[in-house]
Amino acid sequence: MAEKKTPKTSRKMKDYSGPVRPVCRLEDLGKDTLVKLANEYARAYQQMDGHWYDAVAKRYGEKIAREIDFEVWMRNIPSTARRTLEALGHKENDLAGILKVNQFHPAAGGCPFLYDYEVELKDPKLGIVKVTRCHPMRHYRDKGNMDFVRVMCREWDPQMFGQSAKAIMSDVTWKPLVLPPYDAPYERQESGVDCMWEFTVTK
Amino acid sequence: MGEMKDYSGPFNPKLKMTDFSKEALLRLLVAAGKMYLGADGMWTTVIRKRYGDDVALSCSKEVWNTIGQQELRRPTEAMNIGVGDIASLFKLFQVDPGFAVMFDIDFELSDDGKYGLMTVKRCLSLEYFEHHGDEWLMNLACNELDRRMLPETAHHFNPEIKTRPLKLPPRKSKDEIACQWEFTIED
Repeated sequence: MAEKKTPKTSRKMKDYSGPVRPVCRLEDLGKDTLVKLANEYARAYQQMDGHWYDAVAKRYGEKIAREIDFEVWMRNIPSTARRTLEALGHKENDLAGILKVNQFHPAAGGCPFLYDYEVELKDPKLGIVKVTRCHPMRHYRDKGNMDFVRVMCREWDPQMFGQSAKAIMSDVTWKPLVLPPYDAPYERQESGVDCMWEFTVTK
Repeated sequence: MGEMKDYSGPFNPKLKMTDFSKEALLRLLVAAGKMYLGADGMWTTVIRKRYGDDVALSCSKEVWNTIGQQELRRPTEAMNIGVGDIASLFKLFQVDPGFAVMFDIDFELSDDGKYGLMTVKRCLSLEYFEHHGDEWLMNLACNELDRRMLPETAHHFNPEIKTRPLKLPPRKSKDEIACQWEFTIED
């Protein structure tokens, strides 16, 4: 059998193309590899949801699948938002924390496979989140499935963005500034922005 | 900008993953891995409550079967792992979000690479099932899913790999290992 101990002097691995290490922890991987893996983990997290959605839709139809998908997200968001903030080491429950979660949650800016996010803390009581690329929205829009775009963007996202923010700070208020499919009551459009949100703290 | 050990400092609108230190990235990876299995767990819980155990079992099998068929390529490519042998299979287990974060595993590989032994010493999923006394979930994960998925995953790497569980839950004591598997390629 191969030696089970990882050599202490081993250099960090740029990938895992070399020999198998009987004991190989994430810690043994180099930073670039970890960044790559973080992207893959975030993608896998999203795909898990997609596969469940498909399995349920096949049995009970799209309407039921959507209903359950929404329930699952709403139940998962608070704990995953807090888990993300904890992993980031941000201790305060404040607007900066909400924006940081948006930057690195694996169902948000932490999943570059699907999204690009830009965020701005205008002052301690006002924050802006711009989704400059939303692959799911573009995917369904380009397929002409505007019904689902409307469900995702108009029905789900206002509640989900809020659910995530409230998990960090209960007295935050939020509203969409730009929201597909860009008709009433959200006709505003901005170049290079798929959707945009404002978070405010009144106290 | 130097490497950030965490994100407790000022908010940075331009911050990227690559700005973090390795330790910070590890914490994010662990969090994401837990969320990955947590999402599966939440779907299972909701479907089980709404439609019962049989539907949840059926959906879960289908989901993990799809993951097995569609999701192996990306991590193996991202890590440049390759396919074709037990070593490659073990590498995938070591970096997979459902494995690397949740389990403490020993891998042993023979010098000729034709025999591999995987011992899951600690499994957070099993500990969850035991803590909640949920035998149905234990059966789903350890029996219905793993007994089928592990051989199929091995088969993806090399159709000649034979997979055999040597030990599976339930266990009599928490001092026991969670499970143990052997993988062989016969001449």
